[in-house]
Amino acid sequence: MMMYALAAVLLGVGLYGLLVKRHLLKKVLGLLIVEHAVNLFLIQLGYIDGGIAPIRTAGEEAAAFVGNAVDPLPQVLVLTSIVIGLGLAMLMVALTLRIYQRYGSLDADRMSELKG
Amino acid sequence: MDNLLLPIVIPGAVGLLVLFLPARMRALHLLLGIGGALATFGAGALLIDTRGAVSWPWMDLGGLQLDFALKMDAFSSWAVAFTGLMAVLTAAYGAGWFRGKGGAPGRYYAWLLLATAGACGVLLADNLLLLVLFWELVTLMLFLLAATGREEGAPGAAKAFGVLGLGDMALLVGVVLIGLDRTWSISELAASPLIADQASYVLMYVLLLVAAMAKAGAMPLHSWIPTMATGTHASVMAFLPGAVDKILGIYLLARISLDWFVPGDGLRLAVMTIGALTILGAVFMAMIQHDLRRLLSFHAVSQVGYMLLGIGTGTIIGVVGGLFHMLNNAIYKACLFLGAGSIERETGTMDLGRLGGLVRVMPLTFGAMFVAALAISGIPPLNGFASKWLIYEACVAAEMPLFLIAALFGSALTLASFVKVLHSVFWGPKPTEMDGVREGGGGIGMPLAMVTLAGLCILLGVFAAWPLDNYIGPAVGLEAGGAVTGAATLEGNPAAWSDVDGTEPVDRPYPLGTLEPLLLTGLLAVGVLVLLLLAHAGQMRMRRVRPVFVGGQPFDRDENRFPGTEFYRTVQDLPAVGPALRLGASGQLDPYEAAQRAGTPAVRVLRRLHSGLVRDYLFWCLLGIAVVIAVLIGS
Repeated sequence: MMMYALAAVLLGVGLYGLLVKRHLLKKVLGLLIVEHAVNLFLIQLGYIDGGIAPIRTAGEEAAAFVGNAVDPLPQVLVLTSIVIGLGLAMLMVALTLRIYQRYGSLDADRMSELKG
Repeated sequence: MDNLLLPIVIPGAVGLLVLFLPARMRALHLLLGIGGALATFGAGALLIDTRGAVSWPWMDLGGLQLDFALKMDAFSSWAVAFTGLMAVLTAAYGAGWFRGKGGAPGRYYAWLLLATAGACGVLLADNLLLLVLFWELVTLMLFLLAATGREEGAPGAAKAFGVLGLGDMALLVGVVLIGLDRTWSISELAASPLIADQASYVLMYVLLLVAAMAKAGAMPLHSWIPTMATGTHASVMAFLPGAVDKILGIYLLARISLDWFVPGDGLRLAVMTIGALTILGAVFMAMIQHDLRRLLSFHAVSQVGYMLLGIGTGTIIGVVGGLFHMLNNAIYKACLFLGAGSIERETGTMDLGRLGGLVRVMPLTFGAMFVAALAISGIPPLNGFASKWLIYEACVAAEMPLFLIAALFGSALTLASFVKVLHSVFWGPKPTEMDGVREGGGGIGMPLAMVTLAGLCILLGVFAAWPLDNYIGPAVGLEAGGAVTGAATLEGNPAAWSDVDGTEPVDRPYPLGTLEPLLLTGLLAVGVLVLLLLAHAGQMRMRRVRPVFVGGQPFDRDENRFPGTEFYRTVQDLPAVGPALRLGASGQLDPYEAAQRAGTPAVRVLRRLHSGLVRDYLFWCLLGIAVVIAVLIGS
């Protein structure tokens, strides 16, 4: 339960950074925190207290294995998500760099060319 | 692979090929564009006697059944071939237009061929949803063609897309209502047409009628044509609003009025009233225009009224007249638009006040436009007369003298406004700024297209019995030389429109009323000959030229002109007509402008919401997610 609360707190921290902070790098950091909060939440969903690793040894009874092993699906999903997150982080940082070169500023509120 | 696919697949494939060719292969673009159009016309002409249907199951969208079903009947056959012919002439004209100019022939030919494919698809479709798909394709290509190559085409293109989009939406809703109620197959629908006496069927009919009116350009959904005309290539105007959109709109109108529905007297009267009002309203607007292309575009609207009036009478003679008029209108209207395009290409202006005296320097353009102007005004023995005559007779047969008066008066005013055009453009003294103008800058393609169309005006007028007996008559189930029954149907459909002048066969010497074009032409020729002989015998001098006396001052060509723009200015001061014209010219009656006025406050609110700040958009996203989660948890 504590871990769910931690995920919720992390989500809140990340959203705060995204919504309130004007500095683009802080927004990037906020988004990364949101991402990890979601990862943590997904991992929690598949976890069983005191469970074993989802690797079935020869001769192990199927019903007992399913009862004891943690769910591997969220783990696989999160592993993929972390890798994608890495790429996303690189892309965001690169775009931030380009924005700085173009505007000479990282203040998101000064970039309002889509207005109206 | 079935033959019926050819008129759709050939222009579609060639159009896509042209679209993806590199821009510098201009010669190949031209070759493929004209070749593709020629092949389409060839396919249509070869298939003109083919009858049959093919069908491939495509997809079932949860109750909406979309099959790739095609059907060629006596109506679609000649309409497809004629669409191909118009594509050929437009493509040939375009070759001249782009000669020695910049611009992108590739795009032009790609959109042109894809529009042809879409039009043939509409004419051949045997599934309601397939028809809507092809119909949309034509709308989209119209938008792209109107916006191609010219900056000033953009607002007209947007407006055309808006108004046609409304019509297309009505078509889609109407078609889905029919499909859910009865069937998705057009053949099955035609076998047992819907009797439009309940409110739901009347609603479906009206929705489809709106689509047909928007496409063909009947009032009050006509407003996109004049706006588009001011900024679009003349050849685009000739091909789409001038010819193909008329064919499609009137095709749909004829289908719904004769084949799919059995409309009651009230609906028929409504169609005829819209037709009569369109004839008169648009022709009055045309008379007071100063821009040649805009003037022609109001005539393109006005002529639709005749087709609506003819088909609205429901008599076989009226329907045949309406369909024949659709064909004739496409020919002479395309000729007039192409002529206007030639004039613009050589002089650089469409302002009737600045043009003048071009008859000597542009003889081919003058000849073609002269014939087409007489044809549109319904002067015998040209084709416009033949079809208008059938419509007049239909009004008599339907005992609707008011509509007859409207149609005759509309023709007279059409002639009046073309006297203005011919005077301002070709006759009268030539202003000095027109001195360097020469014909033929566009090579052979432009005059070829115009002269072909003008020749068709004469041929279809003198030999009007040939298309009527062989193509248009059979389309409404009329055997060549057969007797007339009062009620018109498509393909001899048993239970279409109620009879107007009795279902008993009427014994007439000619199956279509009293029109005898060959006799008429002969009498006219004799009359002209007699007149010439008399003039010759009496030593009558046909033409006298004297220098104009201006009080001893030197004669200044530019100052002493009588530009045609002053003609009919008094029309605007007539008691009832004047205020209506001013209202029309100000855009008060235009549904597009009305929607704009109503939509502006809403748009202003939305614009204020667009702060352009990332955090605001993020906030909206989160709010949306929160609502979705709340709904999911709640349910």
